[in-house]
Amino acid sequence: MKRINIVFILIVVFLSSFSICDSTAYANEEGLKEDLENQVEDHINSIISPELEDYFNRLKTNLGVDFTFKEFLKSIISGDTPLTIESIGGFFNNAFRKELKYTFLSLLNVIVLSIISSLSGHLSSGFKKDSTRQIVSWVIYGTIIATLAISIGSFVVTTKSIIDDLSTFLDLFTPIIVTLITALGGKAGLTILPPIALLISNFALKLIINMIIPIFFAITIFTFVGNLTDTVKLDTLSKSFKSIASWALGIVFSGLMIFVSVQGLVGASIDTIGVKFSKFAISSYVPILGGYLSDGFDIVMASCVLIKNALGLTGVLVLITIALIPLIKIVVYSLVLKLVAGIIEPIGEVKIASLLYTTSSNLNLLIAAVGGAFFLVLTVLLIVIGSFNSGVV
Amino acid sequence: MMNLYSWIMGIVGAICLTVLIDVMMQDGETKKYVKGITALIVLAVIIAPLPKLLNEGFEFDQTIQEYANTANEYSLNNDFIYAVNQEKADELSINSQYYLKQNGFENVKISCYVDYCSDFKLRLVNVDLSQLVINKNVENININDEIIQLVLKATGANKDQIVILN
Repeated sequence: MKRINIVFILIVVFLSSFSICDSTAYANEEGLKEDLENQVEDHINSIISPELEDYFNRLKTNLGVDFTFKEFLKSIISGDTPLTIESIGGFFNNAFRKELKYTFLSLLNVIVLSIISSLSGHLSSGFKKDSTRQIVSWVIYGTIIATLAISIGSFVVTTKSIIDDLSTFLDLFTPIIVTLITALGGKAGLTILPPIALLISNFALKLIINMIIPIFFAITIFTFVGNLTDTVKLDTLSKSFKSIASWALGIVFSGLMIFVSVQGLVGASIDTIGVKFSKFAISSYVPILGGYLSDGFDIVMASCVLIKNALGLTGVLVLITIALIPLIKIVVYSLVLKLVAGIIEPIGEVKIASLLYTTSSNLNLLIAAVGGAFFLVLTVLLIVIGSFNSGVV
Repeated sequence: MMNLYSWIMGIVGAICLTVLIDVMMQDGETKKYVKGITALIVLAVIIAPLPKLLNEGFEFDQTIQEYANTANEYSLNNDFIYAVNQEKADELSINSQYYLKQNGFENVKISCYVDYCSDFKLRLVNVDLSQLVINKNVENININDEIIQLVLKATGANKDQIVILN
């Protein structure tokens, strides 16, 4: 009987030890989570600059959100962000449909003018002089050019504004990211990221403003002028300028993309090895509390990594707002122009169809410039998110 | 870069002028000569910057200097880095106290201080033994030396950075 009682007591003690362990583990986890949340809150409040807040406030209307940058960042870290894949997809869908409708309506007058021009050509026997027909043709052509020029002018302004916004974004974002990476112990990150951001901001983006946009102006004007008369042909000159711009864009963006990827990954690897080595050194040197000794570092490091990754993701969302949404306008306009050119050609106005088609092809230069800049900055952000997670991962 | 912009705009202007003249003038001998002259003007505009480019080359020094100056604008938030490093040092202090407790030295107050720089570098480790409680047999052991050795292991600091306060 005594033996049964002892066994029973042992079983009870054994089973209750699990519940004690569970509650201790739960209390520890809760405490750890609270510590981490407090750390994240303090770090966010001290690292986000007022200039970045102001910049985000200006973009808020485009994003369709009502909170500050710090609140947005905290919502991403906590997982309560209102921006989901579905909401972003819906946003793009609406923007695409709206632009499609607007572009068709704005180019409708071009179709009408082309029909009038075609009719006036067929009715040329009614005009006493051939020069009268030519003047009518030029007036219609001039009106079509004016319609196109207004849209193209607004796209150039949009492109410049995108590039300026990207440059400002990099200038505001880079010091914060570099500070976080330095706090994480990333010395290689400190020497690699600022030059990459500089190269993109001061070289690639300035190349677009000072070379690509003027060349786009040039080829657009050559297209307008070259289709005006049969005697002056500017196709080859236009194509050569376009080729120069395409090559310049291709070389600069490809080179920068390779440089950014290699430097970012190598630098991140160096830092990961460096900090993991020091963590390993502490752990192995103090075998009894090795794991616990390095855990203290982990809460502070984890907080910095969380903020870094959330900042990277926020940066991606801001980037999409700055670049992708205006880009949709240009892409839709380019596609609709091609379609309208196809509609006009059977009517008989080959010159106008050629004008529209060539203008649409010229717009590809702007699309390539903005798209290239967007992907370059996106690559930097993705490297920041995916790398420099040292000490925690 | 700005010179490139004005060069391209100059070419565009010259070509537009040529086309305008071509359209405005009536066909005839005069038009042929005028077209020839305007073509030469366009050629002159295109090749105008080339002699300077061939003689002087591209000016990279100014561009590199601009980049170097702009690099200084990407400054670190040193206050934040110092705060994070000090938090790491505070965590290290707590863990070191536990380590000493595990080794039989309780109620030791350890305070770690870091340098104000981008790296995590310990500047000073204060070890307050005023409330020390020893829970093990310390016969034939120099307590200060033993504690210093344990603190060295726990913090990774140098011996000259550790200050014992009795």
